[in-house]
Amino acid sequence: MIAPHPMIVPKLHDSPLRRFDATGLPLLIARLVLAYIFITFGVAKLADPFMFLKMLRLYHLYPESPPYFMNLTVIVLPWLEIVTGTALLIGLRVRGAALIQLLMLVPFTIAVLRRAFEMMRLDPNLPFSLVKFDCGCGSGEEIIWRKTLLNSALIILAAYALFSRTRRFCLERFFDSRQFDSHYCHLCGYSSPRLANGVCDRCISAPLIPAQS
Amino acid sequence: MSNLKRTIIEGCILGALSLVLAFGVNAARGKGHVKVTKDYFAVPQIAESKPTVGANARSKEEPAAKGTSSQKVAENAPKPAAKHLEHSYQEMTVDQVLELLKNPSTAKGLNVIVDARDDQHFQEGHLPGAIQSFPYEFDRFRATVINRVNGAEKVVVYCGGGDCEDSIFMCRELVQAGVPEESIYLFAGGYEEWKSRKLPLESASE
Repeated sequence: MIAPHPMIVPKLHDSPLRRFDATGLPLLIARLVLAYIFITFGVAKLADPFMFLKMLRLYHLYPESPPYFMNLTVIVLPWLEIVTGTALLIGLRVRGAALIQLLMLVPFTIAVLRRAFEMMRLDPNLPFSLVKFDCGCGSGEEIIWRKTLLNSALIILAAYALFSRTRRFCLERFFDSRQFDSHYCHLCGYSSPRLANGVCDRCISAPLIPAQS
Repeated sequence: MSNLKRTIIEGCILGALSLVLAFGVNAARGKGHVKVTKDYFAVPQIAESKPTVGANARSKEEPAAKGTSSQKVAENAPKPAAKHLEHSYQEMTVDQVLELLKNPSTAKGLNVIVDARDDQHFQEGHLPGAIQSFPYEFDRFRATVINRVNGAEKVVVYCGGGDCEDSIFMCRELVQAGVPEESIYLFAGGYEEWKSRKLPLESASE
C-alpha cells in the first residue's frame, strides 16, 4: 500500500460554508456587486470632481486649510474606486482590492453616520429614519439609514472577498498558479497551504485524481 | 509569502496604479482639472470697516450720486437669506436684479450678470443675458469674463441659491482678477428664487 504524502491530509468533512465558498459562486457575486457599485460611483465622482469636493467639505473630515488633503482626496479617490472595482471585476489582485475597499468603506460609513447624528443634534425633532442628504458618493440625495444598510452590506462583501480562499472564476488564478509560492490549487482554484505539485488536498483525494506518492 | 504580506503588496500595487492614473488624468484634463494647492473655499476675511452679510452698504453709502432706479430699490429691499459663509460682498434681491435687467445700461453692457454654476446647469437655463463662469474652473472662463466685466458698473453674481456658496467664491475670483469689489453684487436668492418667481429664463439652445 502506498502511503499518502505526509503533507497531504484529505479533508472529506469540510464545513458546508467552506464547501459553498469553494464553489466560487459567492465570491463571484460579491466581486460583481462591489465592482458595479465602485466603478459606477467612481465614474460619477470623476465626471464632476468639484461636486465631490463640495460634498467632501461638508463632512469636515479634513482641515480646510491647507487644502492639499481635500484636493488630493478628490483627485485620487475616484481612481482608487475604479481601479479596485475593475480588479474585482476581472478577478485580479482580489485581496488587495478588497482590502482597499474595506479601508474606504469603513471610515466613510462612520463619516456618514457622524454627519447624520450632527444633523439630528441640530434638529432634535428629526428622526434618524428621515435623515437624508447627498453623501457625495455619486448617487445623489439618499435616505441615510438605507445608505448605512447598503454600506454595511458592502463591508460584509468586501470582508468576504478579502478572506475567501477560493479563486475560481478569477483571472489571477491563471497568473498566480505559475508563481513559485502559489497558494492556489491548479484544479479547483482553492487556496491551500498544503499543495503537492500545485494540487490541493481536496482535489488529490478526489476519485478521478489518484494520490501520488 | 504570508497571505497578509501578499494582500498588502497587492493593495500597494493597486494604490500605486490609482495614483499614476489619478495624477496623469488630472494633469491631462482641461475641464474638471483639480489644482492640488488651490484653496477653493477661501473667502477673504471681513475687515472691521467692511459691511457684514446682507448689508446693502454701498447703496447706503452713496445713495444719490448715481441715482439709478436699482439703487433706490436696493435701499428698501429686505435682507436676503443668510449664507453659510460670511462675506463682505454687497447683495441684491430678486427684485433688484429684475430692475437691473430692465435698466437700459444693462443692454449696453454696463451691467453684467455672471452665472457661477457648472456647464450642465447653465445650459439647462440661466438668467437672461447671463454669462457663465464656474469659480472652480475660473481659468476656463477668465478671458471671456474679464473682457465683459471690465468697465462694468455692476457685476451681479448668482449661483443655485439656497445653500449654494459658489457665487461667493466667484466674487472672490473676480476680486482677485482685479474687478473692483465695489462693483460686485451677490444675488443670494440665485437661480432657485428666480425660477420660483417664474421669471424669464434663457437656455443654451436659445
